[in-house]
Amino acid sequence: MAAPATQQIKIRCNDEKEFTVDRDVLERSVLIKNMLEDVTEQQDAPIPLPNVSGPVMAKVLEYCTHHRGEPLPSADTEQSQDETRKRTTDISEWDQKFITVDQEMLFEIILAANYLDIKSLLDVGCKTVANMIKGKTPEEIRKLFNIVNDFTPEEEAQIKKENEWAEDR
Amino acid sequence: MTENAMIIAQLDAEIELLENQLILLRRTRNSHTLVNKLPPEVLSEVFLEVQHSDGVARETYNVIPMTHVCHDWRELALDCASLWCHIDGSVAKWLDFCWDRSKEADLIIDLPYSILEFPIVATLNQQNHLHQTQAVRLRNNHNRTVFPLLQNTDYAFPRLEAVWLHKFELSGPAFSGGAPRLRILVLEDCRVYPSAIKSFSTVTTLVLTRPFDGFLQVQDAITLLSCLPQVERLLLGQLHSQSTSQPLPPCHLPHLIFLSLAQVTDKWLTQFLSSINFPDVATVMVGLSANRNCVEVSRVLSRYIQGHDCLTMMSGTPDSLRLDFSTLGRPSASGHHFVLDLLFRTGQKDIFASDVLRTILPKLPLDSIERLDLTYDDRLHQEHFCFEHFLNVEILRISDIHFLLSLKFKSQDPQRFGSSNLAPALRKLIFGSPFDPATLPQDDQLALLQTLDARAMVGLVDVIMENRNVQLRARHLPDQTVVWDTVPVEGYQPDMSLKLSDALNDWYKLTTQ
Repeated sequence: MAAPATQQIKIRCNDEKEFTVDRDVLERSVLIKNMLEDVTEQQDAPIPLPNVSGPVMAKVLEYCTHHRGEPLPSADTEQSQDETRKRTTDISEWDQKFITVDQEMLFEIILAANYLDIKSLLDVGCKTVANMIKGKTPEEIRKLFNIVNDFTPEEEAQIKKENEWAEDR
Repeated sequence: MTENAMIIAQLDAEIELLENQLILLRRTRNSHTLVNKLPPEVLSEVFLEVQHSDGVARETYNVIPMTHVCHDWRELALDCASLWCHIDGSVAKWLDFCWDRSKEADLIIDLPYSILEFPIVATLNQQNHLHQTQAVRLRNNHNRTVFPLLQNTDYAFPRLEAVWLHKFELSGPAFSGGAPRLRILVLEDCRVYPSAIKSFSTVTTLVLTRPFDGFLQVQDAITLLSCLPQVERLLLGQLHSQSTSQPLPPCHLPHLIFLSLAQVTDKWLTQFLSSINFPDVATVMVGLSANRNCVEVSRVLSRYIQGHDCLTMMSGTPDSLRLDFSTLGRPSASGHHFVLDLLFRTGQKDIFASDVLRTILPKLPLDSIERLDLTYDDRLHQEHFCFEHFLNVEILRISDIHFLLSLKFKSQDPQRFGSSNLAPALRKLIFGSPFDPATLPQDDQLALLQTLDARAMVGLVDVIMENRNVQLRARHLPDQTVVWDTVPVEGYQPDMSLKLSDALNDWYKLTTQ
């Protein structure tokens, strides 16, 4: 059976890179879905996405294409979702491979997912960063993310006190 | 002030100024790092993920290192109330720290025995945060004779929904100040008296196991339950049968929808079931006690819960093979009114999954079973599996079958194993079995499998196949194709799942061409 024709939508990134994508793939993004619903007439002009670059959008579209057809979380289910349950959701094998990128791309993907309102991709990104942090000391976390110690002497004193509590733990 | 002192003071001021400028420069530098480009609400979400150490348990201590990384992270973490509302044993010394930062968020207090050595009760009582408590779990405090935290206070707990106590003695009223939203009460190894249980009259879920200092008599359990008429879900541990033959007073539980009884013996089961009245629609789950008379238990069950819709039997003993299921269930005109879960923990020398199947199957009232869940844990033997018996069962879920090597179809009747029948039957099987089609026997029966109309598999798309090692998720694409994704879980065996996923995809392609 031939697949039904799906509407193609054009988008333009901040580096002028354009993509033509099936509507159902793009609608993984709540932001774009809402934009498309607001437009009643067919438009040929590409949708501008000023906060996303071409390479990042290509990755985001790879994710959306893979997960097309899956149910989107509604506002109701999101609210009623038990927090513990939400946090026990594993990252699938495919998602893990997908998100194995350098740090710059990882954070760009997270920012894009946040801007485009793609909850599942944002979750995958946050879990990945959390896994990078887990079990590390503050110094190791700083090194990982290229952060330097910028505490005031007062903050340092408080941290020292908290570390003493930790030693007694 | 001498001139020298003035110079030093001036230089100190300049040093301080420079140091402050240095800190500002460092903060500005940090704000340009990739991670700090994330919006605060996204970074908070990352912090919350870190707090869940193993994906399930929350340990507030996990948050502490993040407050020591840089100024922005510290400010953000300290300001995020939900990071500090889980008061657990890992933050014994941080109680004040946590209270202050939890703001008005719901609190979950989860304390092991070790922390109760701290003057925590006094600390809690001094705080103005108790009204935020949503759940309390206090463990292993058998040395104390009272339920100190909640019993000796007139404090109101307007948000309290769940209480979990381990090894406490509850002898008097609790929650004098009121806990109107309390619904879940878990009393694990607690000694409970009716005077205390009356304080929990709003509870709808009760878990009660034998007390730390002895047994819970059936009569005592009935007395306690009589104080909790609102109970909807009841999970009881092993009870001790009455020595006297005097009939027990009746106990009405009109709202009960789930009853779980662990380690039953025919004696206490008879006494208990003859006393309580509960609706027929309630699901009943029974766990057998080792080396008990299973035939007698079968008889008791058939007498008292025959009319019930659901029954789960749990057992890991060879004795369970002697259970007689033939009298259970409620055959009706449609013949589909009975759900039976069988959970067998096999893998012992003297009991294998094949034994269970061979012995139990003839006894099952398959015609009246609507859904059958079979759970095995048999790592020692790898066997063949025949599912011919289950063709009449609407939903068959089989999990934990690690031993499965091949499928066998005993009947050659094409009507029975034609594509229309085989597909649903196979669907039942692969709900939960990580079988490897590559190991299927190369005979005529395999030919049947290969001619299966894979379009009949479309019914699988909403199913998550799950067992201990792999989840297989079928996705239905808009163009009518199906993609099988494997999802790793703990103990994941990538080779097996990959083979299965590939095989199903190949199979689908082959049969839909």
